Amino acid sequence: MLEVLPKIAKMQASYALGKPLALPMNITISVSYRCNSRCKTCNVWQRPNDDFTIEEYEKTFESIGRDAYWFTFSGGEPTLRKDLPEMVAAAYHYCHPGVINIPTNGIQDKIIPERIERVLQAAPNSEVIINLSLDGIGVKHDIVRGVKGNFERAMRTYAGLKALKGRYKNFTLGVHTVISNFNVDEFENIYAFVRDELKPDSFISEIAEERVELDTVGMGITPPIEKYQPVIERLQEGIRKAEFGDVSRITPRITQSFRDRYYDIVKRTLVEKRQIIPCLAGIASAQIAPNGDVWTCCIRAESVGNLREHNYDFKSVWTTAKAGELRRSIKAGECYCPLANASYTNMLCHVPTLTSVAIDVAKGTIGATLSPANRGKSAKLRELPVINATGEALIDNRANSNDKVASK
Amino acid sequence: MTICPQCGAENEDDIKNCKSCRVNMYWAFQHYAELASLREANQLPPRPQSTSFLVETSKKIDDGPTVDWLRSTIKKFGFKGAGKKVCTTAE
Repeated sequence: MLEVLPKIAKMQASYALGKPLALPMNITISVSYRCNSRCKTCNVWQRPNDDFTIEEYEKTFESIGRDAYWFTFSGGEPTLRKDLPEMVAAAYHYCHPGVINIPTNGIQDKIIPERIERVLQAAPNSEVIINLSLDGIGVKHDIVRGVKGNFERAMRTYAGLKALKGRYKNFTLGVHTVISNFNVDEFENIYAFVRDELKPDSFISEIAEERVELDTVGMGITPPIEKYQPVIERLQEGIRKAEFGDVSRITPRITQSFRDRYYDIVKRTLVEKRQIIPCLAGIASAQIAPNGDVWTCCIRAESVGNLREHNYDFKSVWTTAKAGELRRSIKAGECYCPLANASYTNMLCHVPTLTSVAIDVAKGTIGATLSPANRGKSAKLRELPVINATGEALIDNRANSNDKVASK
Repeated sequence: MTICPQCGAENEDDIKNCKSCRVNMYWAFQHYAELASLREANQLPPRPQSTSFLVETSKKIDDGPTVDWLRSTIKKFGFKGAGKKVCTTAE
């Protein structure tokens, strides 16, 4: 994991200069828009399909090389592609990523565990994280996901994946819940079920948000902060109590510490409606659409160029005028969002956040710093003045935070 | 003409997103009524206030390379054929 440190310095320098000095360290590859779910929170399945072939991915990964550390293979439903293991093998061969993350709806219960086992074999020295989507329990899950019998199939898939745990040390099995107006009242039940029955290595939750990629703009699926705040607080309490994962190991402790801070950022983003820490989408993170369009992120989903039109040379697409224009817009704070994928990279490149995580992990007291009774240096770092990406507003949130502490 | 279930704007029959509020029309006919009642229960206005950068970016889809295909597909098959193979880059 230490190999990311020099990359972070390059990302920060790129952000300051407004032009990339290296390729992104976090790349999401949307392998297809095809999806066998019909979620109430997503319309991606309506998008046309013009998917990259495995040969096209090989050329692309070769052009990216060792710059990328974190790969996410998403969709649509990524496991619908039979050649998903070959894609991962190509990424592993050319890019040697430290982390490979793949979400799944778990519907194809007879196929997914075998396909994921081939993924694990294809990337033996990468940490492979498979996140099963779970948006409700039983029929409530089926209703939100729009597929009868989805829950039962997802549970069979989960069991099949869990059986792989003993054989692959590089495998992290997680559960992922999207919280929307459709299921926010169910969160406690979902949380208890995941903690007590599924017992995954990790449990993550994201708020349903409007994204151009998913064609969810204008839908109003995002729950109000009043309803979502208790969800976040429950998640943070779970981190403090180490309810998921083996926090005696260093990597899960780092992950949990970042996750804790991510939830802080989500809360503040929803309330303040601005970038809480500088967004490095377009510098440190990127997304490749199934047809080879390259985006700074899936929230805006604006193409900076198409890999097919640039002979599969990522650097060529990444340095177009359109890419520069979007970078300027992002840096100017013309957009904001709580997108988890980009947020984690942003936190990694944000010195106060990185420092506070490092202190937390070193102390081995991830959650204790949340307690007002135990506010050490890492807690103070969390309250450092946050610079809005526009550079126009210096917001000292220490006063606000102190008020909150005093009122507890 | 098709009336948007969310905002009441008049749209052409084969349009993917409402020209006024940008909501996905297929989704709106399936789920808007349920969501509106949930939003009401949560003391939210029935229509969301989408941020301007998202609305502006979403509008650009209407001018993208797939719009003709999507429009004809919707007209011909409804949304059942929406997963069909198509070339999305400029020829």
